[in-house]
Amino acid sequence: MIDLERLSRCFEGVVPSTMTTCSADGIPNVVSISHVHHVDARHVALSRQFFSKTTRNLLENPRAMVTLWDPLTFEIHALDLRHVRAETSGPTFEKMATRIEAIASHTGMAGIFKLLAADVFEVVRVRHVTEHMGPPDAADDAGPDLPEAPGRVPFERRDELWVLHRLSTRLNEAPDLERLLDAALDSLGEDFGFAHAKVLLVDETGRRLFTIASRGYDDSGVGSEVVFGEGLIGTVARDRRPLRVGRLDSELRYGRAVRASVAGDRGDARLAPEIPLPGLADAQSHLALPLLVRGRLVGVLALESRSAASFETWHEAFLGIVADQVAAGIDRLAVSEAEDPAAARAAAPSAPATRRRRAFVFYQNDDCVFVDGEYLIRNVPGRILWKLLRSHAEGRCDFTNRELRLDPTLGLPAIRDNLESRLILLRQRLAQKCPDIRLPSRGRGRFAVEVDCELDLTERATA
Amino acid sequence: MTDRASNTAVSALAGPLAALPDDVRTLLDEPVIMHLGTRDAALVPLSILAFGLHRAGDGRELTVFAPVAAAGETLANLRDNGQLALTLVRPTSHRSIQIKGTWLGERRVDEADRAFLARYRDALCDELGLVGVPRSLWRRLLWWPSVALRFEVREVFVQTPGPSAGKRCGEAPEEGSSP
Repeated sequence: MIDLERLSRCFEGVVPSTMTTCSADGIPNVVSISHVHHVDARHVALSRQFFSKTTRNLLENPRAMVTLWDPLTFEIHALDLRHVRAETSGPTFEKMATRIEAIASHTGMAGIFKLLAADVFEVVRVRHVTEHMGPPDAADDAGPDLPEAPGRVPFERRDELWVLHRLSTRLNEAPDLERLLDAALDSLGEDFGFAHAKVLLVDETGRRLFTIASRGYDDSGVGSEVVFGEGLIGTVARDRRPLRVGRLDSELRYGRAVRASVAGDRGDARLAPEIPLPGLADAQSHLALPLLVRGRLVGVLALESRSAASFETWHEAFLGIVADQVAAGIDRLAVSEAEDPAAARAAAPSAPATRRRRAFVFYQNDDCVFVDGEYLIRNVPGRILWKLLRSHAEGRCDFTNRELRLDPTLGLPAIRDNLESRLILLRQRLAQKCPDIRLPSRGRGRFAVEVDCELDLTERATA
Repeated sequence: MTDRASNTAVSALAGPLAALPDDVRTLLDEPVIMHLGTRDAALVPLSILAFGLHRAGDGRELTVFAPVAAAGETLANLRDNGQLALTLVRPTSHRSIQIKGTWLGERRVDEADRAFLARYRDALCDELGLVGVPRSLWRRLLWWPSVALRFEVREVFVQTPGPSAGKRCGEAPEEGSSP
């Protein structure tokens, strides 16, 4: 029998798969299904979201057939199945539930459209069906095709150990969090061809993520936030399980079809708004991996691609190793470093004269900083920036991480304060919104505040 | 698609199809993915891709086309017991219906059928292009020669995903039921 592992890309769905069953009295039933889940070499699972004629048929007659389409060749793999059990807990159920809840959450259907059970089937036979396809017609002007998926390396050319070794070395050599994240994202682009990726870290509330670094976007999105449980990335953070969506548009169309159906039956009142996807507007494939250290979530590594089915089972496993390395590095560097006194040196003097004036306002009620009327940053990084600007106005230019950690007004937690990540976020937001102010490193545990403008600082209770 | 020559709009439906809600009634005339399900004497189910739906009269009888190259086992099943289910899905919206029917027999295909299926293929190519299916692959689908399968429409179900999926048209939905 054909090895199901070799059909990995077919499980992503292009033309929706179908399932055919038959009742005890001999009436066939054919339904579209949103996703076929590969369990192991001899089993697949299908999601049961509503009690259905299909379910009833399976209870009467366990035989079924599922068609899987190869997204690259358009050939069909017909799976003859025998229903063996329905699972309502366990790893298969939980993995399928995460996927469904992510789509439901994204389409504003959380709690309405959810997994009731994972129907597990033994694969009795796999038939490779090709007779419906003719040879390519070179003279047929069929219009443009999709670009070839990036990162699709044939089995025999996957030199994964060397890639992992290279990445591991880069992460290991990174002296600080900023360069660790650079190394991880650069390696994903250079070694895997995944050009659109970002890292989000858990903020001080423990219920939100913020983007700290990204590659491949016109707007870096640094500082953008995702609440746990909302959308694809938020669901990964909440459930601490990876999520791979091969045909996002198809999955979202399915979710929207359910939403339209529910709205038609019950009205819109119970439905939450659809959550805009951060990142590429036309992404087709997503892979989001939780960054875990001893079971504690430190962030999420999120990749996306404009090509369908870019991420295979293999990528999920391999990039899971990468995510573990990145998580360990973040944990190591986020709580690092005593200061390096030898590295301290005087800040470069600010450029004289003809400097523009920039107006900063700090809003006390939500720790939000605006520059020239435009939002800059908030929460802990906002409080840090405000402290630095006020100190700079009093003549100070050099600072240490230690003094920030000891300042009770900043509200940093006593342990795992993630100060490094807050400073990276602050540097990147300044580079985007106010490049007249920089926070260059002055050696381990030290940094300077460089200001090339006149500061106008105002503090207000509320907006 | 209603008429092989003029492809006129859906109208004057009778029988179970007449009860289709407006939002899915148009699927009968739109480019859709069709799967034809049958079963053998041992109740083992089978489905194949069907290609093109033709309604000559008031909709009590339909003709569905299937590529000859893929239709062997399906024809054997139909000759054995005549039971079939045909699912229509619009790829861009997931709107869907399922028709349950009884096979009436095959008929000879002609040049009008061929022209109808050529137009159907072009429309489906455009539709699938909208959901990212490579056109060069889809156009390799062998759609001719096809076998024309006549069947009587027995029941129709709305099958768009959601809690109302499986609602039999013309009847109140069975509580908690979907196909």
